[in-house]
Amino acid sequence: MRVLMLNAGRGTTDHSEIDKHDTLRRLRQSSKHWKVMVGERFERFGIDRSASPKYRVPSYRRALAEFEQHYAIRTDNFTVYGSLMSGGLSNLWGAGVSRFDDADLEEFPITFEDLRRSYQCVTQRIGVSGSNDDDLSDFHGREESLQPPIVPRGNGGFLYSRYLFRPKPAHKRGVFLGHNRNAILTLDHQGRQGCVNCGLCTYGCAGQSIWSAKHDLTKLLQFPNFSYRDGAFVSYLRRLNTSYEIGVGSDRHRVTRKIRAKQVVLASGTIGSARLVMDALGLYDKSRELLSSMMAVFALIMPHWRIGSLVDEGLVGASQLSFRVVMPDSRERYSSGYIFLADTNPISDFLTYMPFNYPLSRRIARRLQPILLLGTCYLGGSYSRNTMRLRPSGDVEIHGGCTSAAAPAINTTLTRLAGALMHYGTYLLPGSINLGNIGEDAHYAGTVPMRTAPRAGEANSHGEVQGLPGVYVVDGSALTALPAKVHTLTIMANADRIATTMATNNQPC
Amino acid sequence: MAEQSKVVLTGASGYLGQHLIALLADKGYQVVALVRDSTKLPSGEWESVHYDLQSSAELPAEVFRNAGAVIHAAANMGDQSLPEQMEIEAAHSLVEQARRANVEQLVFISSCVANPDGPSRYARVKWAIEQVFLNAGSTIIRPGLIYGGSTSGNRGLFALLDRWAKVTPFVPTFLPPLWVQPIHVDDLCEIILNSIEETNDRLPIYEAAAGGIHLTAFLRRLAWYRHHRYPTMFPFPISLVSFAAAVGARAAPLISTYYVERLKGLRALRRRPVSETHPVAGVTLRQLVDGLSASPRRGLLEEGRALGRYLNGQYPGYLVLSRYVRALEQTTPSSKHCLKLAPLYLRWPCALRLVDPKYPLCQLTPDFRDEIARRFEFMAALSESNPSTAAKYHARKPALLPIVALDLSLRIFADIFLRGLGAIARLGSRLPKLARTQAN
Repeated sequence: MRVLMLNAGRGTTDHSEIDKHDTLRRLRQSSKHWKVMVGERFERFGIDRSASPKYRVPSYRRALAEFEQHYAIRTDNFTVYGSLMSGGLSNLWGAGVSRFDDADLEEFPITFEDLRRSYQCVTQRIGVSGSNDDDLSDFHGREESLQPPIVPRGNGGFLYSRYLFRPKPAHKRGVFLGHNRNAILTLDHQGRQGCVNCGLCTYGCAGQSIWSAKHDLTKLLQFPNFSYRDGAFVSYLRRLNTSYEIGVGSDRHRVTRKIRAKQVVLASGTIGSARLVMDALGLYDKSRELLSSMMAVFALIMPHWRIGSLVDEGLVGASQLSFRVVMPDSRERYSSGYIFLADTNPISDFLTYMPFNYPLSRRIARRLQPILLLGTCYLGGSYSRNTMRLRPSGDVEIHGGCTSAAAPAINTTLTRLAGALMHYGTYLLPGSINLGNIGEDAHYAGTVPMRTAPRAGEANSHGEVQGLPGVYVVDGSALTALPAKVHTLTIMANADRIATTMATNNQPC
Repeated sequence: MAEQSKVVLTGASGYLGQHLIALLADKGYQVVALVRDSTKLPSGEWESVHYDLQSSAELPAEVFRNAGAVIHAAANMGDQSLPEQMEIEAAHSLVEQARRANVEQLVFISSCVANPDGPSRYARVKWAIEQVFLNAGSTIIRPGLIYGGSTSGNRGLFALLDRWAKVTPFVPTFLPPLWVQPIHVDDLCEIILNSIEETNDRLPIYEAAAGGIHLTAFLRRLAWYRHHRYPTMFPFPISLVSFAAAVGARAAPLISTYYVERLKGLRALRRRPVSETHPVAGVTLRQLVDGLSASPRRGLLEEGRALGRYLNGQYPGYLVLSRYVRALEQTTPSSKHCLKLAPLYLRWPCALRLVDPKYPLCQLTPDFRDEIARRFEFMAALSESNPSTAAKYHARKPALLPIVALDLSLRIFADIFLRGLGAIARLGSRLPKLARTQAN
């Protein structure tokens, strides 16, 4: 079987400004800091100031560019993120990975057992660090091939050590803390370097410790039956008698080449794959559900002797801890989130949110940064009410919305979390809760969901689209539901499972 | 207008005309310049034809053939002995010939002093010519005090003020105050261009002027922004000026009559509300600091310098300032002009506390508040990412906890106190309005 991979964008994210020997403190004192933080074309300023700090990093802004224009996406109450570059959104993801358990897969036509081998396979391939013996081991999924976890440092370390010493007050409120499960290496793995705690995760990892899909591409190119072409935007997919015609060009209006294939695997992202499927089936002007996680960002403060101290060396910009809050009286069983050090974030990002004038905010943030923590909290996709629609013109319309229970659920989560963390000398900063725009989480799923009895435009348990035999969806669009967990590992495991089935079926007899 | 790209322009060698002819040629129009003295016309790819306001003789028919617009910018600025009717007749003749040649657009550059009962000849003539053009269904543009650009070799009011600000160490504080409504010459040229290109929803009269400013304040800013001088103020009663000018007019009539006329015009000028005049014909008028400065970036640099000093407690270096200006210019085109900040803020940046967008002590419009907040955000990020100011954001030396706590507490209390004062002041300013509302 010969495989041709098409990628819409050209190149990948560029972190050439960051050296392997750089640390956050060294970068902040160097003249190239502005190129990394602001960008030579001032990319940092070309986005709404309420957006996540990650999306404002210049190299990531370049990765996110042109996605909306290429797909002609028009949004209403929805912030859309996507990337056409090689590696896609995995170039800028938070690197959190969790397995879906049987309860999470309740609505899926598959069970955990179907995914078990693929989970193991993917985890070994990408390299995952985490712990198998903390309160969140079952939540993230126990795994034999885990690398040692990232040790929480600074305030994260203080908080976790206090929690380990006396976990009962948190458990009483249904709050569980643990090491985060990250696709970040702590030991060298297949040519990639283990994390050196440089604190530059937000700006790009020079040692390639954070996994990105572009790392796998290097390995794929070694196979003689695999070829790759970038700058090839798939404009349409058309069914012929026994095969498919794929229109490829630099954008959707310029089809410069037509490719024929018997089997097509769609991994253009939740929005991109759904657009191709709906276009191929003629499902125009029909609303389709688009799942996303409602999210909130908040700040925590640990008032202690570190006020006025310096920011530590040897930090990790990725999440230090993860938490799970049990929600027995809601439709989802739990909500979850991550806790980060504030030390690695630019101070100027805090100024807007502080209740003082600008110079005073700067002074206060400068001195309080060592005692701050930042957190993000995610709800399950069942709280979202987003719809996606394809117009006959090829334009994609996305309308964002959520159920009335979403805001109370976030409120309950944060109330419980704040109540629990108070016992560890950590307080939720009043007025710091900021509900993210709908879609800002970039955890999209469910536009071509796998079903036991799929209808047109849906997929069967093997990811094959109903009405388009030989066309498989292997990205977030194939997920049937979206629990309050990061879904990336499950997308990869599901893709591995579907690809394995395809390869087995295509074996010459 | 799109099909007929030929424009006939009178007064092309004047202050406005020289800028306008360059813009029209730059936009690809074929320009026919009607001038009294073609040697005064700047060099360029345009045709010149002799035209004199003292003569109502017909122009060659080729001048108007296939012309899409006629812009009448010529005016008698010096010779007060020229009968008013002669200039009006010349305008009549121009309109007639243009109509006969089926010219689609006629634009007359009038003045904000135009008035049938105006005290000056200039005001009365402008108003009379306005009537001629309005009867022909044309467009009238009434600029305020035109400023900016090169003033060499022309006799406009701005050239006079510019010479004054450049040479004299004093600025007269006119009593009672005289108001002017300035407009940059390039903005005015764009308004004129838009008015001839706009075929739908064209207004008969465009008031092309920004909000009013005292002539004295204008002169001070002119001296500072353009010539980097801080002139001394001295009171100057208008009646004394008029007397001196009248005496001077008797002694040297050729020299002084022009200035007497302009002064009369300025005294009669009444300020028009800003809301009616801004923006004009799709053009957002630039700030004075932008227009008066020798470099268009100067206003942004000064603004960035003040914001940086207020935010960081130290003036930002050249690198931060140049990045600030480029960031504003590149991210949003609307940000290329500087904010409308009084000189007070630029000279004493701590005064920016009054307009700090997070907790302003005085009333700010929502647009201004958003824009200044954006600029603070730019300055903060650029300062943080520069080694010379990075220490203001990330401490390089630890501080003792009691000292940090005391320092921050005092500053917070001081800020809360200031906010209280600001709230009382705002309430105080609202009380008279509230009392009037209740009385009504």
